[in-house]
Amino acid sequence: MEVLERVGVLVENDAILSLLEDAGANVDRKEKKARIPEYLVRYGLNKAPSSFVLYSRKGKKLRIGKEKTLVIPSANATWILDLETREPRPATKKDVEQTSRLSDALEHTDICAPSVLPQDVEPAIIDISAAEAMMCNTSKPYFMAPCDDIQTSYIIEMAAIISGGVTELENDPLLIGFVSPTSPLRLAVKELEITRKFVEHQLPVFIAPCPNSGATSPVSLAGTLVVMCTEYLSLTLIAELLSPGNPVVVGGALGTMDMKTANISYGSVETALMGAATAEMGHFYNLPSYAAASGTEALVPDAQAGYETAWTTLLPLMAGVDLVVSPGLLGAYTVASYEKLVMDNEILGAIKRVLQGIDISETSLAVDVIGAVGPGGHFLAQKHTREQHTKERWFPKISNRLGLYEWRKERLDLWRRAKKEAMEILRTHKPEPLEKEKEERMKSLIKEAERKMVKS
Amino acid sequence: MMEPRPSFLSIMTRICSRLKITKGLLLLGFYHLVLHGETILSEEERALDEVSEAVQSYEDERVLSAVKKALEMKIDPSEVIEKGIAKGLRIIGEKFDRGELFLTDLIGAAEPARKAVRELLEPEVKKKAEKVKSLGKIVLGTVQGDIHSIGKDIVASMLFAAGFEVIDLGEDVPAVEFVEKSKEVDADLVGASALLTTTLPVQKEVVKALEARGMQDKVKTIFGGAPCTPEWVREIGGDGYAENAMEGVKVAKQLLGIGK
Repeated sequence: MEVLERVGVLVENDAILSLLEDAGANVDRKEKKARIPEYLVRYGLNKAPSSFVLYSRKGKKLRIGKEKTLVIPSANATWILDLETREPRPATKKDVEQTSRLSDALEHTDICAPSVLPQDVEPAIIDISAAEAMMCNTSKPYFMAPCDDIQTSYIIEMAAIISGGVTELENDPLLIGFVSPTSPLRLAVKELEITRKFVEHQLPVFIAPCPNSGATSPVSLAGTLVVMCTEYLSLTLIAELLSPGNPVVVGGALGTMDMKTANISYGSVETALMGAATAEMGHFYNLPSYAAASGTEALVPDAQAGYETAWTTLLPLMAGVDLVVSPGLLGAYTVASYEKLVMDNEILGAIKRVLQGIDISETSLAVDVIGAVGPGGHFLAQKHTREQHTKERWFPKISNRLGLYEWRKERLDLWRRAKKEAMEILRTHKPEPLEKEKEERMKSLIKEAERKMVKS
Repeated sequence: MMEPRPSFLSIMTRICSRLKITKGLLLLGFYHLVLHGETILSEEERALDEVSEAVQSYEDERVLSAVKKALEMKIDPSEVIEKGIAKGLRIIGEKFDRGELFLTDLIGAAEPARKAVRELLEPEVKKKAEKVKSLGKIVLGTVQGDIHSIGKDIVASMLFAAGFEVIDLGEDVPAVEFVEKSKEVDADLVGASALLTTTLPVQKEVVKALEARGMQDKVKTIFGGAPCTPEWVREIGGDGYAENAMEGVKVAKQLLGIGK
């Protein structure tokens, strides 16, 4: 609150500055700064719902906030590890289609996002092309983080085509947006325009600062959380002033600047800790929270990828975060990997088992069963074992459970096992197809966008 | 930090009493040494040392006051830059390369140093119609439509610390502005950073704008930013690709034929 009142935020849009001023903020027009008093922040917090519903195109409801954690794949990488050659290469539109299809199949992905942005299309329509490729290949709800407001408009139009109309989309949203201020404390022109586009249609939106601890926020973890909260509280207020009652998800992708390489790290334990804290801040503000999880600086699905993903995902989930944007990326969220999507799905499964905890009940204490088996007996034939084991155990899909001799026959490491699984899913899985007519309309919308926006 | 030394006179007195040399001969020797300035630091050298130490202390005020003092003593501003500022930054840079210091130390030293050069020293150099000695002049910026500047800011500081003259155009810079500024200041290099896939194409426009003015041989281009790749740089006819700030400095040196 102190930062909001004393330091203020930069708001690069005069209309929104006026909006804030009329609402009671202390606005300096020359500097484009808004200093926001506590009562106004509370107003914004109270307006935003603590939970809301997202829909899939099949009509399935997904409640966000005050529920179990939901998972969205990490999005917008520009590189991908080729499945055949295992070498990194620029991502293509086909990769968007395939990763979306894979996410459609993976059981721990609840909302889909484009893992990659296609590098083989005109840059001006990169987000729109990704949206189309994704929407046609999964029937799960959609997450998009567009980089400008023009493409945002087109993406909303595409979602409306799938919903069957703009009103239908507004009533039962199947699209959730993502907007990020420019740390520190700067609400730049672009992000304000994108916010406006989403809330114009009352679409739920992630308000997610991405400060880099040590560079665009203090190096102290607590200081980074202060910057994150300041930014998202101010942008939430703006969203609520523009569209009272608009659903938002607050949180951040809290990276750390590595002081030896000047690269940003998202797989660090610091990020994990801040992710957990983000969940707690969300509870404190009574808003749905989000953390960027499963980040790793590893560039291949190796041990580092494993341990960094594990800790950055475990901590926020144990802290009760509402949404994680996580599976599928390497290299500090710059390189996608089919194998990592599968591997992260595995890790999520295990973590969900952790969240289940240990059941203490008459059944689970199994005193009768212990009595029945008696000293020196065994439990394998027991009805209790048959009936309870599916509830008590998590079933790994790709983790090795073979002994040495069995394993030596094929010598498959995790990377190879994940690849096998990914290829099998891609070979067999068919997502719910989109109606032909809607697909056609989306394709012609893209052509229209291309005509208008691509300079010849 | 300079360690306290026993006074020169006390050392000489002790030596003389050992060697039984007369004080007269001793004084002659003393003057001989002073004239050649070999054992005692002159006032000026001390002042320049203080500038270098101040840079290494990361303290804004200390750097500014050390530079002011040196200028008051009428020390040539180019000397202050070369033997004070650049020396301090070189020491920090070497420690960083050895892994003894971190990015935060490098930038922590470079920023006050840049401020002192910009506010106090460059105006003095201009007055003398001299040129600031540097490894080369580079015009830097984040391309039009893009406001992500932290990476570019880090490169700017590191290039400055390495001895380049950096003209930072800031963010959201149109291609044509990169080129016009380069012409105006007679730059050796243009560096453009793009953080979004949608703004990357502006880097191509920078190359084209240089070619349109026939400047492509004189001014080398270097590009970086998350979506930028060596393949892209090759495709657009750029001269250098910088994967990160450290690489940026290396590539800038390579392009200008400067040894390590």
